[in-house]
Amino acid sequence: MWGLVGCASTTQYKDPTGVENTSIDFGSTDLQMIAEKMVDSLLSFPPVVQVTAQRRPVMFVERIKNKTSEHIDTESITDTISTKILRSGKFRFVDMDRINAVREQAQFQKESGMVNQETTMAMGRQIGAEYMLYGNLSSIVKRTSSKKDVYYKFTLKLMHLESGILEWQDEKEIRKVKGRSTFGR
Amino acid sequence: MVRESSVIVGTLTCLLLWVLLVTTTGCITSGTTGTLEESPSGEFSEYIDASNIFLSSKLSIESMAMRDVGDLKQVQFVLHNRRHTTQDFEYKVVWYDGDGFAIDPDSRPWNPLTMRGKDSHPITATSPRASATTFKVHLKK
Repeated sequence: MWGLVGCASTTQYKDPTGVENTSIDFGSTDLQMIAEKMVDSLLSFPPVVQVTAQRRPVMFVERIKNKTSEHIDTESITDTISTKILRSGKFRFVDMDRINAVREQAQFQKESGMVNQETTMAMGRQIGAEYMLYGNLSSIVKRTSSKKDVYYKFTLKLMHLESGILEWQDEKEIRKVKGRSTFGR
Repeated sequence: MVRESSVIVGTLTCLLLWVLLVTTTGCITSGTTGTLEESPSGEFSEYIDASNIFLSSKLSIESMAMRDVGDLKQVQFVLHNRRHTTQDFEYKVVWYDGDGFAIDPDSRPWNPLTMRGKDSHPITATSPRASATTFKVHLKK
């Protein structure tokens, strides 16, 4: 009986926005803190405020480059950032990841013979992106026998595609230390 | 003999009650590293979510400025540790619209923060949408 009780495991639902410090590796709290800082910074930058005051410019997100030694799903970071930006009502997005699916659907509508030609999507009517959002995530890792220190730096940039001008750029730094706890900290 | 036994039982009961009282009080204070003091009575205490009374009595908003960035709101406030001891806690800025509804409360994360005794820390936040009119900083251990 005791053996059965001892082996029983439970599953609990937790707040997904809560601080997660299971390990020193890149985690959900890091992702959320990066997205919060970047979106706050972008939406409050005066030239961006001016551009988005009367209209909703179109942007596309290029995948964030992972320059760390960890396997990190950077698409998840950009998804969180683009969700927040889109929900702010300041920008619109084109999804380059789904271009092939859109092309296949257009081809199906035109050539399959199954679709009423009066209802097919008109070609050449998509709106071109005006801005590109891109960046990278890098890290510096230091180790001793008793301590591990990880420094992450996330850089995000907004480029005006026609002029090539960098309209906005910001960074978020995160430093995490894992080691034996000491008294009197 | 019977009377002596009842006196002993009575004394033991009193002792047990006293031990229970001391233990219970110890549990309340040990988890909060300090005694329960008055709630913050500063000018900006309305912007601190007071659901965690132990933490909200240790922290206060020292100064605050809010401005419009386009149709969004931006706030900068200085969180102050009123105690001489280091406080490890988490905070989250939640924006509210004119009707008092929280705007996307799950879209902002809890941020870990360590503040040394009597330390101050500036925090800046931008509202996620134009409908925001005010904010609150939520605190938890």
